[in-house]
Amino acid sequence: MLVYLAMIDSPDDRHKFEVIYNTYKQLMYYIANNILGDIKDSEDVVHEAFLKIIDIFEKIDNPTSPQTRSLIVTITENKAIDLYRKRKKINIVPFEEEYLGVPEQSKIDQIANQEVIAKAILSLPGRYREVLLLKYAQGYSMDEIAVILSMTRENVKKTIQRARKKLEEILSAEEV
Amino acid sequence: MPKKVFKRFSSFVISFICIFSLAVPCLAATDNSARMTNIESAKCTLTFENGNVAASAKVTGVSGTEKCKVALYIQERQGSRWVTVDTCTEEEDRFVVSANSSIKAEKGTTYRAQATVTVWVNGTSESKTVTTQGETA
Amino acid sequence: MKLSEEMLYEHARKAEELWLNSLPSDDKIPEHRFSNKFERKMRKLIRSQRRSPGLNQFLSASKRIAVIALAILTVSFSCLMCVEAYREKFIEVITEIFEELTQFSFSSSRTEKTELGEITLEYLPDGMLEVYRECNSKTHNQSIYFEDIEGRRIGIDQDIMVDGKQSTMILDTEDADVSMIDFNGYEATLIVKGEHTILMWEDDVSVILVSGDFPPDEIIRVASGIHVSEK
Repeated sequence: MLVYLAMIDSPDDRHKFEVIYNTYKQLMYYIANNILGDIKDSEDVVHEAFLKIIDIFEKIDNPTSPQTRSLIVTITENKAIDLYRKRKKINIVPFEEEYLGVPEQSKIDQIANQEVIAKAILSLPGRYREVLLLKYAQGYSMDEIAVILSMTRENVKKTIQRARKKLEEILSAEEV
Repeated sequence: MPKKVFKRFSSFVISFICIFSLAVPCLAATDNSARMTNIESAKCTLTFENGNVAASAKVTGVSGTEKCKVALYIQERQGSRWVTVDTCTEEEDRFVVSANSSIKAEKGTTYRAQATVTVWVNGTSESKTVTTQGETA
Repeated sequence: MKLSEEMLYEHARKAEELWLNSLPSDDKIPEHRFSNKFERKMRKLIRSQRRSPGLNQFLSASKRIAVIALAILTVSFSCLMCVEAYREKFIEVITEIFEELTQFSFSSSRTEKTELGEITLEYLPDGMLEVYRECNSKTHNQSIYFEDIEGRRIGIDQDIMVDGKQSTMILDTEDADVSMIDFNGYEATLIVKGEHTILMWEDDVSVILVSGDFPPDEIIRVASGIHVSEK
Protein backbone atom coordinates (compact mmCIF):
# COMPACT_ATOMS: atom_id res chain seq x y z
CA MET A 1 0.00 0.00 0.00
CA LEU A 2 2.75 2.42 1.00
CA VAL A 3 4.75 1.59 -2.15
CA TYR A 4 1.69 2.19 -4.33
CA LEU A 5 1.05 5.53 -2.69
CA ALA A 6 4.71 6.51 -3.14
CA MET A 7 4.49 5.66 -6.85
CA ILE A 8 1.47 7.80 -7.58
CA ASP A 9 2.41 10.55 -5.20
CA SER A 10 4.38 13.55 -6.45
CA PRO A 11 5.39 16.93 -4.99
CA ASP A 12 2.79 18.48 -7.34
CA ASP A 13 0.02 16.41 -5.78
CA ARG A 14 1.08 17.46 -2.33
CA HIS A 15 0.88 21.11 -3.25
CA LYS A 16 -2.39 20.70 -5.11
CA PHE A 17 -4.23 21.04 -1.86
CA GLU A 18 -2.54 24.34 -1.14
CA VAL A 19 -3.53 25.61 -4.59
CA ILE A 20 -7.13 24.56 -4.00
CA TYR A 21 -7.11 26.29 -0.63
CA ASN A 22 -5.78 29.56 -1.99
CA THR A 23 -8.05 29.52 -5.05
CA TYR A 24 -11.37 28.68 -3.43
CA LYS A 25 -11.36 29.70 0.22
CA GLN A 26 -13.04 33.04 -0.36
CA LEU A 27 -15.71 31.55 -2.63
CA MET A 28 -16.36 28.77 -0.14
CA TYR A 29 -16.77 31.27 2.67
CA TYR A 30 -19.11 33.36 0.53
CA ILE A 31 -21.35 30.34 -0.20
CA ALA A 32 -21.39 29.20 3.41
CA ASN A 33 -22.14 32.67 4.72
CA ASN A 34 -25.01 33.11 2.25
CA ILE A 35 -26.71 30.13 3.83
CA LEU A 36 -25.69 30.49 7.47
CA GLY A 37 -25.24 34.21 7.96
CA ASP A 38 -22.68 33.65 10.73
CA ILE A 39 -18.91 34.22 10.54
CA LYS A 40 -17.83 31.46 12.91
CA ASP A 41 -20.22 28.87 11.50
CA SER A 42 -19.18 29.76 7.96
CA GLU A 43 -15.48 29.31 8.80
CA ASP A 44 -16.26 25.97 10.45
CA VAL A 45 -18.06 24.89 7.29
CA VAL A 46 -15.11 25.92 5.11
CA HIS A 47 -12.78 23.86 7.31
CA GLU A 48 -15.14 20.87 7.21
CA ALA A 49 -15.36 21.20 3.42
CA PHE A 50 -11.57 21.08 3.13
CA LEU A 51 -11.53 17.92 5.23
CA LYS A 52 -14.03 16.40 2.81
CA ILE A 53 -11.90 17.54 -0.14
CA ILE A 54 -8.98 15.64 1.37
CA ASP A 55 -11.20 12.56 1.58
CA ILE A 56 -12.01 12.64 -2.13
CA PHE A 57 -8.73 14.14 -3.26
CA GLU A 58 -8.11 11.51 -5.89
CA LYS A 59 -11.21 12.73 -7.77
CA ILE A 60 -9.63 16.14 -8.34
CA ASP A 61 -7.37 16.41 -11.40
CA ASN A 62 -6.98 20.03 -12.35
CA PRO A 63 -7.42 22.31 -9.30
CA THR A 64 -8.71 25.22 -11.40
CA SER A 65 -11.03 23.43 -13.86
CA PRO A 66 -14.79 24.18 -13.89
CA GLN A 67 -15.46 20.59 -12.77
CA THR A 68 -13.29 21.10 -9.70
CA ARG A 69 -14.91 24.43 -9.00
CA SER A 70 -18.34 22.81 -9.25
CA LEU A 71 -17.32 19.96 -6.97
CA ILE A 72 -15.84 22.24 -4.33
CA VAL A 73 -18.83 24.56 -4.33
CA THR A 74 -21.15 21.55 -4.08
CA ILE A 75 -19.25 20.18 -1.09
CA THR A 76 -19.27 23.56 0.66
CA GLU A 77 -22.96 24.13 0.03
CA ASN A 78 -23.73 20.62 1.26
CA LYS A 79 -21.82 21.18 4.50
CA ALA A 80 -23.50 24.54 5.02
CA ILE A 81 -26.97 23.05 4.53
CA ASP A 82 -26.09 20.27 7.01
CA LEU A 83 -25.07 22.80 9.61
CA TYR A 84 -28.12 24.92 8.92
CA ARG A 85 -30.33 21.89 9.60
CA LYS A 86 -28.54 21.24 12.90
CA ARG A 87 -28.86 24.88 13.95
CA LYS A 88 -32.49 24.96 12.92
CA LYS A 89 -33.25 22.47 15.68
CA ILE A 90 -32.47 25.27 18.08
CA ASN A 91 -34.01 28.01 15.89
CA ILE A 92 -31.01 30.11 14.93
CA VAL A 93 -31.83 31.30 11.41
CA PRO A 94 -35.41 31.50 10.14
CA PHE A 95 -34.93 30.44 6.52
CA GLU A 96 -36.84 28.19 4.24
CA GLU A 97 -34.60 25.11 4.17
CA GLU A 98 -36.09 23.81 0.99
CA TYR A 99 -34.64 26.68 -1.03
CA LEU A 100 -31.18 26.92 0.46
CA GLY A 101 -28.51 27.41 -2.18
CA VAL A 102 -30.91 28.46 -4.95
CA PRO A 103 -29.57 31.35 -7.02
CA GLU A 104 -31.46 34.66 -6.90
CA GLN A 105 -34.63 34.67 -8.99
CA SER A 106 -33.33 37.56 -11.11
CA LYS A 107 -30.37 35.46 -12.17
CA ILE A 108 -32.64 32.55 -13.08
CA ASP A 109 -34.90 34.88 -15.09
CA GLN A 110 -31.92 36.03 -17.17
CA ILE A 111 -31.42 32.51 -18.51
CA ALA A 112 -32.72 32.11 -22.07
CA ASN A 113 -36.05 30.36 -22.42
CA GLN A 114 -34.55 27.58 -24.54
CA GLU A 115 -32.75 26.38 -21.53
CA VAL A 116 -35.98 25.36 -19.78
CA ILE A 117 -34.71 22.18 -18.24
CA ALA A 118 -31.40 23.74 -17.21
CA LYS A 119 -33.34 26.64 -15.72
CA ALA A 120 -35.59 24.26 -13.85
CA ILE A 121 -32.62 22.38 -12.42
CA LEU A 122 -31.23 25.67 -11.18
CA SER A 123 -34.41 26.53 -9.35
CA LEU A 124 -34.43 23.25 -7.44
CA PRO A 125 -33.58 23.26 -3.71
CA GLY A 126 -29.82 23.06 -3.17
CA ARG A 127 -29.74 19.42 -2.03
CA TYR A 128 -31.69 18.24 -5.08
CA ARG A 129 -29.58 20.23 -7.51
CA GLU A 130 -26.40 18.89 -5.97
CA VAL A 131 -27.26 15.23 -6.50
CA LEU A 132 -28.55 15.79 -10.05
CA LEU A 133 -25.48 17.72 -11.15
CA LEU A 134 -23.07 15.31 -9.49
CA LYS A 135 -24.74 12.41 -11.27
CA TYR A 136 -25.71 13.86 -14.64
CA ALA A 137 -23.19 16.66 -15.16
CA GLN A 138 -20.12 15.27 -13.40
CA GLY A 139 -20.90 11.58 -14.00
CA TYR A 140 -20.31 10.31 -10.44
CA SER A 141 -21.79 7.00 -9.40
CA MET A 142 -24.28 6.67 -6.52
CA ASP A 143 -21.51 5.37 -4.27
CA GLU A 144 -19.23 8.26 -5.15
CA ILE A 145 -22.00 10.78 -4.56
CA ALA A 146 -22.68 9.14 -1.20
CA VAL A 147 -19.05 9.76 -0.19
CA ILE A 148 -18.96 13.33 -1.50
CA LEU A 149 -22.18 14.33 0.23
CA SER A 150 -21.68 12.14 3.32
CA MET A 151 -24.91 10.30 2.70
CA THR A 152 -25.84 6.65 2.44
CA ARG A 153 -26.25 5.13 -1.00
CA GLU A 154 -29.93 4.58 -0.26
CA ASN A 155 -30.41 8.25 0.64
CA VAL A 156 -28.68 9.35 -2.54
CA LYS A 157 -31.00 7.15 -4.59
CA LYS A 158 -34.10 8.53 -2.81
CA THR A 159 -32.91 12.12 -3.15
CA ILE A 160 -32.34 11.70 -6.88
CA GLN A 161 -35.86 10.25 -7.24
CA ARG A 162 -37.35 13.16 -5.30
CA ALA A 163 -35.25 15.65 -7.28
CA ARG A 164 -36.47 14.25 -10.57
CA LYS A 165 -40.06 14.32 -9.35
CA LYS A 166 -39.69 17.94 -8.23
CA LEU A 167 -38.07 18.84 -11.55
CA GLU A 168 -40.97 17.26 -13.45
CA GLU A 169 -43.44 19.26 -11.33
CA ILE A 170 -41.59 22.48 -12.10
CA LEU A 171 -41.47 21.70 -15.81
CA SER A 172 -45.16 20.71 -15.86
CA ALA A 173 -46.05 24.02 -14.21
CA GLU A 174 -43.99 25.85 -16.85
CA GLU A 175 -45.89 24.12 -19.63
CA VAL A 176 -49.21 25.37 -18.29
CA MET B 1 -22.63 9.45 18.06
CA PRO B 2 -21.06 11.95 15.58
CA LYS B 3 -17.41 11.18 14.79
CA LYS B 4 -16.15 14.52 16.11
CA VAL B 5 -18.01 14.16 19.42
CA PHE B 6 -16.81 10.57 19.82
CA LYS B 7 -13.18 11.64 19.18
CA ARG B 8 -13.40 14.39 21.78
CA PHE B 9 -15.11 12.08 24.26
CA SER B 10 -12.52 9.33 23.88
CA SER B 11 -9.67 11.88 24.21
CA PHE B 12 -11.28 13.13 27.42
CA VAL B 13 -11.72 9.60 28.80
CA ILE B 14 -8.10 8.65 28.10
CA SER B 15 -6.86 11.89 29.69
CA PHE B 16 -9.12 11.28 32.71
CA ILE B 17 -7.72 7.75 33.16
CA CYS B 18 -4.13 9.00 32.92
CA ILE B 19 -4.61 11.84 35.38
CA PHE B 20 -6.51 9.94 38.03
CA SER B 21 -4.39 6.79 37.72
CA LEU B 22 -1.37 8.90 38.55
CA ALA B 23 -3.26 10.25 41.54
CA VAL B 24 -3.57 6.74 43.03
CA PRO B 25 0.10 6.13 43.90
CA CYS B 26 0.32 9.68 45.22
CA LEU B 27 -2.62 9.05 47.51
CA ALA B 28 -1.30 5.63 48.46
CA ALA B 29 2.02 7.15 49.43
CA THR B 30 0.40 9.54 51.87
CA ASP B 31 -1.02 6.74 53.98
CA ASN B 32 1.14 6.12 57.12
CA SER B 33 3.53 8.58 55.56
CA ALA B 34 5.37 9.89 58.63
CA ARG B 35 8.95 8.60 58.85
CA MET B 36 9.36 5.29 60.68
CA THR B 37 12.47 5.79 62.78
CA ASN B 38 11.57 4.38 66.18
CA ILE B 39 9.43 1.45 65.15
CA GLU B 40 11.23 -1.63 63.84
CA SER B 41 8.10 -3.67 63.24
CA ALA B 42 4.49 -3.88 64.31
CA LYS B 43 1.92 -6.60 63.88
CA CYS B 44 -1.81 -6.93 64.38
CA THR B 45 -3.72 -10.24 64.28
CA LEU B 46 -7.36 -11.32 64.30
CA THR B 47 -8.61 -14.86 64.62
CA PHE B 48 -11.69 -16.87 65.60
CA GLU B 49 -11.47 -19.52 68.30
CA ASN B 50 -14.30 -21.43 70.02
CA GLY B 51 -16.95 -18.87 69.22
CA ASN B 52 -14.75 -15.95 70.18
CA VAL B 53 -12.93 -13.34 68.15
CA ALA B 54 -9.40 -12.84 69.46
CA ALA B 55 -7.00 -10.05 68.59
CA SER B 56 -3.39 -9.40 69.41
CA ALA B 57 -0.89 -6.72 68.51
CA LYS B 58 2.81 -6.34 69.06
CA VAL B 59 5.32 -3.58 68.49
CA THR B 60 9.09 -3.83 68.46
CA GLY B 61 11.20 -0.72 68.81
CA VAL B 62 14.66 -0.09 67.41
CA SER B 63 17.85 -0.20 69.45
CA GLY B 64 17.69 2.32 72.26
CA THR B 65 13.93 2.09 72.77
CA GLU B 66 12.84 3.42 76.15
CA LYS B 67 9.16 2.59 76.10
CA CYS B 68 6.51 0.94 73.91
CA LYS B 69 2.75 1.15 73.93
CA VAL B 70 0.02 -0.74 72.10
CA ALA B 71 -3.63 0.34 71.98
CA LEU B 72 -5.61 -2.57 70.51
CA TYR B 73 -9.17 -2.31 69.20
CA ILE B 74 -11.55 -5.02 68.08
CA GLN B 75 -13.98 -3.46 65.62
CA GLU B 76 -17.14 -4.77 64.03
CA ARG B 77 -18.65 -3.65 60.78
CA GLN B 78 -21.96 -1.81 61.06
CA GLY B 79 -23.14 -0.80 57.62
CA SER B 80 -20.32 1.16 56.04
CA ARG B 81 -18.66 2.02 59.35
CA TRP B 82 -16.29 0.17 61.64
CA VAL B 83 -17.30 0.44 65.28
CA THR B 84 -14.94 -0.38 68.18
CA VAL B 85 -16.48 -3.03 70.44
CA ASP B 86 -13.49 -3.82 72.62
CA THR B 87 -10.24 -2.12 73.52
CA CYS B 88 -7.08 -2.96 75.38
CA THR B 89 -3.91 -0.95 76.06
CA GLU B 90 -0.50 -2.14 77.18
CA GLU B 91 2.59 -0.06 77.89
CA GLU B 92 6.03 -1.21 79.00
CA ASP B 93 9.45 0.34 79.54
CA ARG B 94 11.18 -1.97 77.12
CA PHE B 95 11.74 -2.55 73.39
CA VAL B 96 8.73 -4.84 72.83
CA VAL B 97 5.18 -4.95 74.08
CA SER B 98 2.07 -6.83 73.05
CA ALA B 99 -1.63 -6.55 73.80
CA ASN B 100 -4.34 -9.23 73.61
CA SER B 101 -8.10 -9.11 73.60
CA SER B 102 -10.96 -11.54 73.07
CA ILE B 103 -14.76 -11.18 72.92
CA LYS B 104 -17.67 -13.38 71.97
CA ALA B 105 -18.19 -13.38 68.21
CA GLU B 106 -21.64 -12.87 66.65
CA LYS B 107 -22.07 -15.20 63.72
CA GLY B 108 -22.29 -13.35 60.45
CA THR B 109 -20.64 -10.23 61.84
CA THR B 110 -17.46 -8.96 60.20
CA TYR B 111 -14.63 -8.04 62.54
CA ARG B 112 -11.20 -6.51 62.20
CA ALA B 113 -8.38 -5.65 64.60
CA GLN B 114 -6.70 -2.29 64.67
CA ALA B 115 -3.70 -1.27 66.77
CA THR B 116 -2.04 2.05 67.36
CA VAL B 117 1.55 1.42 68.36
CA THR B 118 3.88 3.97 69.91
CA VAL B 119 7.62 3.77 70.54
CA TRP B 120 9.72 6.22 72.50
CA VAL B 121 13.39 6.72 71.68
CA ASN B 122 15.42 9.54 73.26
CA GLY B 123 12.24 11.11 74.55
CA THR B 124 10.68 11.28 71.08
CA SER B 125 7.61 9.21 70.32
CA GLU B 126 6.48 7.76 67.04
CA SER B 127 3.10 6.19 66.33
CA LYS B 128 1.70 4.05 63.56
CA THR B 129 -1.62 2.31 63.00
CA VAL B 130 -1.86 -1.27 61.77
CA THR B 131 -5.18 -2.72 60.69
CA THR B 132 -6.10 -6.23 59.64
CA GLN B 133 -8.43 -7.11 56.81
CA GLY B 134 -11.98 -7.85 57.88
CA GLU B 135 -13.10 -11.40 58.59
CA THR B 136 -16.61 -12.71 59.08
CA ALA B 137 -17.47 -14.98 61.99
CA MET C 1 -43.44 16.29 -18.34
CA LYS C 2 -41.60 12.99 -17.99
CA LEU C 3 -37.81 13.25 -17.88
CA SER C 4 -35.59 10.59 -19.35
CA GLU C 5 -32.01 9.80 -18.34
CA GLU C 6 -30.80 11.09 -21.71
CA MET C 7 -32.57 14.43 -21.21
CA LEU C 8 -31.01 14.88 -17.83
CA TYR C 9 -27.53 14.02 -19.07
CA GLU C 10 -28.04 16.43 -21.96
CA HIS C 11 -29.16 19.39 -19.89
CA ALA C 12 -27.32 18.85 -16.60
CA ARG C 13 -24.00 20.14 -17.93
CA LYS C 14 -25.67 23.30 -19.12
CA ALA C 15 -27.37 23.67 -15.76
CA GLU C 16 -24.02 23.32 -14.04
CA GLU C 17 -22.46 25.92 -16.28
CA LEU C 18 -25.30 28.32 -15.64
CA TRP C 19 -25.17 27.66 -11.93
CA LEU C 20 -21.46 28.35 -11.74
CA ASN C 21 -21.97 31.51 -13.76
CA SER C 22 -24.58 32.65 -11.26
CA LEU C 23 -21.89 32.69 -8.60
CA PRO C 24 -19.81 35.88 -8.35
CA SER C 25 -16.44 35.82 -10.06
CA ASP C 26 -13.36 35.74 -7.89
CA ASP C 27 -12.72 39.45 -8.21
CA LYS C 28 -16.28 40.23 -7.19
CA ILE C 29 -16.32 38.10 -4.05
CA PRO C 30 -15.95 40.32 -0.97
CA GLU C 31 -12.69 39.43 0.73
CA HIS C 32 -13.17 37.87 4.14
CA ARG C 33 -10.43 38.14 6.73
CA PHE C 34 -10.33 34.69 8.32
CA SER C 35 -9.87 34.36 12.07
CA ASN C 36 -6.52 33.32 13.60
CA LYS C 37 -8.11 30.08 14.79
CA PHE C 38 -9.17 29.19 11.23
CA GLU C 39 -5.76 30.09 9.81
CA ARG C 40 -4.06 27.90 12.40
CA LYS C 41 -6.32 24.95 11.62
CA MET C 42 -5.74 25.34 7.88
CA ARG C 43 -1.96 25.72 8.25
CA LYS C 44 -1.90 22.44 10.15
CA LEU C 45 -4.03 20.81 7.45
CA ILE C 46 -1.80 22.13 4.66
CA ARG C 47 1.32 20.93 6.49
CA SER C 48 -0.15 17.46 6.81
CA GLN C 49 -0.99 17.42 3.12
CA ARG C 50 2.58 18.41 2.25
CA ARG C 51 3.83 15.24 3.92
CA SER C 52 3.68 11.99 1.98
CA PRO C 53 0.55 9.91 2.66
CA GLY C 54 2.79 7.19 4.02
CA LEU C 55 4.33 9.56 6.54
CA ASN C 56 0.88 10.86 7.52
CA GLN C 57 -0.36 7.33 8.10
CA PHE C 58 2.75 6.55 10.12
CA LEU C 59 2.37 9.70 12.26
CA SER C 60 -1.33 9.08 12.78
CA ALA C 61 -0.72 5.46 13.80
CA SER C 62 2.20 6.52 16.02
CA LYS C 63 0.03 9.09 17.81
CA ARG C 64 -2.66 6.48 18.45
CA ILE C 65 -0.11 3.94 19.68
CA ALA C 66 1.54 6.54 21.92
CA VAL C 67 -1.77 7.51 23.52
CA ILE C 68 -2.78 3.89 24.12
CA ALA C 69 0.69 3.02 25.45
CA LEU C 70 0.61 6.01 27.80
CA ALA C 71 -2.80 5.01 29.13
CA ILE C 72 -1.68 1.39 29.68
CA LEU C 73 1.61 2.49 31.27
CA THR C 74 -0.12 4.89 33.65
CA VAL C 75 -2.75 2.41 34.77
CA SER C 76 -0.15 -0.36 35.18
CA PHE C 77 2.13 1.93 37.19
CA SER C 78 -0.65 2.92 39.57
CA CYS C 79 -1.73 -0.70 40.04
CA LEU C 80 1.84 -1.74 40.74
CA MET C 81 2.29 1.03 43.28
CA CYS C 82 -0.83 -0.02 45.14
CA VAL C 83 -0.81 -3.73 45.45
CA GLU C 84 1.35 -6.70 44.61
CA ALA C 85 -0.25 -10.04 45.32
CA TYR C 86 1.86 -13.17 45.86
CA ARG C 87 0.14 -16.49 45.83
CA GLU C 88 1.69 -19.04 48.11
CA LYS C 89 0.64 -22.62 48.70
CA PHE C 90 -1.74 -21.96 51.58
CA ILE C 91 -0.78 -18.51 52.75
CA GLU C 92 -1.81 -15.48 50.76
CA VAL C 93 0.30 -12.36 51.09
CA ILE C 94 -0.69 -8.91 49.95
CA THR C 95 2.24 -6.54 49.94
CA GLU C 96 1.70 -2.80 49.91
CA ILE C 97 4.80 -0.72 49.41
CA PHE C 98 4.77 2.78 50.83
CA GLU C 99 7.56 5.31 50.92
CA GLU C 100 8.56 4.73 54.54
CA LEU C 101 7.35 1.22 55.20
CA THR C 102 5.99 -1.95 53.69
CA GLN C 103 2.77 -3.52 54.88
CA PHE C 104 2.19 -7.27 54.60
CA SER C 105 -1.28 -8.72 55.00
CA PHE C 106 -1.46 -12.48 55.55
CA SER C 107 -4.40 -14.82 55.29
CA SER C 108 -4.82 -18.52 54.70
CA SER C 109 -7.24 -21.07 53.32
CA ARG C 110 -5.77 -23.84 55.44
CA THR C 111 -8.36 -25.51 57.61
CA GLU C 112 -6.16 -27.93 59.60
CA LYS C 113 -5.66 -26.86 63.18
CA THR C 114 -2.03 -26.57 64.17
CA GLU C 115 -0.94 -25.76 67.68
CA LEU C 116 2.15 -23.74 68.42
CA GLY C 117 5.21 -25.94 68.61
CA GLU C 118 8.48 -25.37 70.40
CA ILE C 119 11.09 -23.21 68.66
CA THR C 120 14.65 -24.51 68.89
CA LEU C 121 17.73 -22.86 67.43
CA GLU C 122 20.82 -24.62 66.17
CA TYR C 123 22.84 -21.43 65.99
CA LEU C 124 23.01 -18.05 67.73
CA PRO C 125 25.88 -15.52 67.69
CA ASP C 126 28.12 -15.62 70.76
CA GLY C 127 26.87 -13.91 73.88
CA MET C 128 23.15 -13.98 73.00
CA LEU C 129 20.82 -14.40 75.99
CA GLU C 130 17.02 -14.74 75.94
CA VAL C 131 15.39 -11.52 77.16
CA TYR C 132 11.73 -11.93 76.12
CA ARG C 133 9.36 -14.71 75.19
CA GLU C 134 5.67 -14.65 74.43
CA CYS C 135 3.33 -17.41 73.38
CA ASN C 136 -0.34 -16.73 72.48
CA SER C 137 -2.35 -19.92 71.98
CA LYS C 138 -5.50 -17.99 71.05
CA THR C 139 -3.97 -16.08 68.13
CA HIS C 140 -1.35 -18.77 67.40
CA ASN C 141 1.76 -16.62 67.48
CA GLN C 142 4.91 -16.68 69.48
CA SER C 143 8.09 -14.64 69.67
CA ILE C 144 11.47 -14.90 71.34
CA TYR C 145 14.11 -12.19 71.67
CA PHE C 146 17.78 -12.49 72.50
CA GLU C 147 20.23 -9.76 73.36
CA ASP C 148 23.96 -9.61 73.97
CA ILE C 149 26.01 -7.47 76.28
CA GLU C 150 26.47 -4.84 73.61
CA GLY C 151 22.71 -4.47 73.21
CA ARG C 152 22.57 -6.23 69.87
CA ARG C 153 19.31 -8.07 69.50
CA ILE C 154 17.94 -11.07 67.60
CA GLY C 155 14.22 -11.75 67.39
CA ILE C 156 12.24 -14.71 66.09
CA ASP C 157 8.52 -14.42 65.42
CA GLN C 158 6.21 -17.20 64.27
CA ASP C 159 2.59 -16.72 63.21
CA ILE C 160 0.58 -19.86 62.37
CA MET C 161 -1.95 -19.05 59.66
CA VAL C 162 -5.31 -20.80 59.39
CA ASP C 163 -8.55 -20.11 57.60
CA GLY C 164 -10.35 -17.22 59.26
CA LYS C 165 -7.21 -15.56 60.60
CA GLN C 166 -6.00 -12.20 59.40
CA SER C 167 -2.55 -10.83 60.21
CA THR C 168 -1.06 -7.50 59.18
CA MET C 169 2.53 -6.47 59.72
CA ILE C 170 4.46 -3.30 58.96
CA LEU C 171 8.22 -3.29 58.53
CA ASP C 172 10.56 -0.32 58.24
CA THR C 173 11.80 -0.41 54.64
CA GLU C 174 12.63 3.29 54.19
CA ASP C 175 16.09 3.62 52.66
CA ALA C 176 16.45 -0.12 53.09
CA ASP C 177 17.79 -2.64 50.64
CA VAL C 178 14.85 -4.97 49.98
CA SER C 179 15.26 -8.13 47.95
CA MET C 180 13.67 -11.53 47.44
CA ILE C 181 15.94 -14.52 48.03
CA ASP C 182 15.57 -18.24 47.95
CA PHE C 183 15.66 -19.55 51.52
CA ASN C 184 15.46 -23.32 51.98
CA GLY C 185 13.21 -23.60 48.94
CA TYR C 186 10.98 -20.73 50.01
CA GLU C 187 10.84 -17.25 48.58
CA ALA C 188 11.97 -14.96 51.41
CA THR C 189 12.01 -11.20 51.83
CA LEU C 190 15.37 -9.82 52.94
CA ILE C 191 15.44 -6.28 54.31
CA VAL C 192 18.80 -4.74 55.12
CA LYS C 193 18.99 -1.29 56.66
CA GLY C 194 22.35 -0.27 58.02
CA GLU C 195 23.36 -2.88 60.54
CA HIS C 196 19.86 -4.25 60.94
CA THR C 197 18.55 -7.24 58.95
CA ILE C 198 15.10 -8.81 58.65
CA LEU C 199 14.42 -12.12 56.96
CA MET C 200 10.79 -13.14 56.48
CA TRP C 201 9.29 -16.15 54.74
CA GLU C 202 6.14 -18.26 54.67
CA ASP C 203 6.21 -22.03 54.82
CA ASP C 204 3.11 -24.20 54.48
CA VAL C 205 1.90 -23.41 57.95
CA SER C 206 3.22 -20.13 59.26
CA VAL C 207 4.90 -16.80 58.64
CA ILE C 208 8.33 -16.68 60.24
CA LEU C 209 10.37 -13.55 60.78
CA VAL C 210 13.95 -13.40 62.01
CA SER C 211 15.39 -9.97 62.71
CA GLY C 212 18.57 -8.72 64.29
CA ASP C 213 21.33 -6.16 64.57
CA PHE C 214 23.60 -8.31 62.42
CA PRO C 215 24.61 -8.55 58.75
CA PRO C 216 22.46 -10.64 56.38
CA ASP C 217 24.64 -13.74 56.33
CA GLU C 218 24.53 -13.98 60.12
CA ILE C 219 20.74 -13.64 60.24
CA ILE C 220 20.38 -16.20 57.44
CA ARG C 221 22.61 -18.56 59.43
CA VAL C 222 20.41 -18.14 62.51
CA ALA C 223 17.26 -18.64 60.40
CA SER C 224 18.65 -21.78 58.79
CA GLY C 225 19.07 -23.33 62.22
CA ILE C 226 15.49 -22.70 63.40
CA HIS C 227 13.33 -25.75 63.98
CA VAL C 228 9.72 -25.63 65.02
CA SER C 229 8.27 -28.81 66.35
CA GLU C 230 4.65 -29.30 65.32
CA LYS C 231 1.98 -30.32 67.82
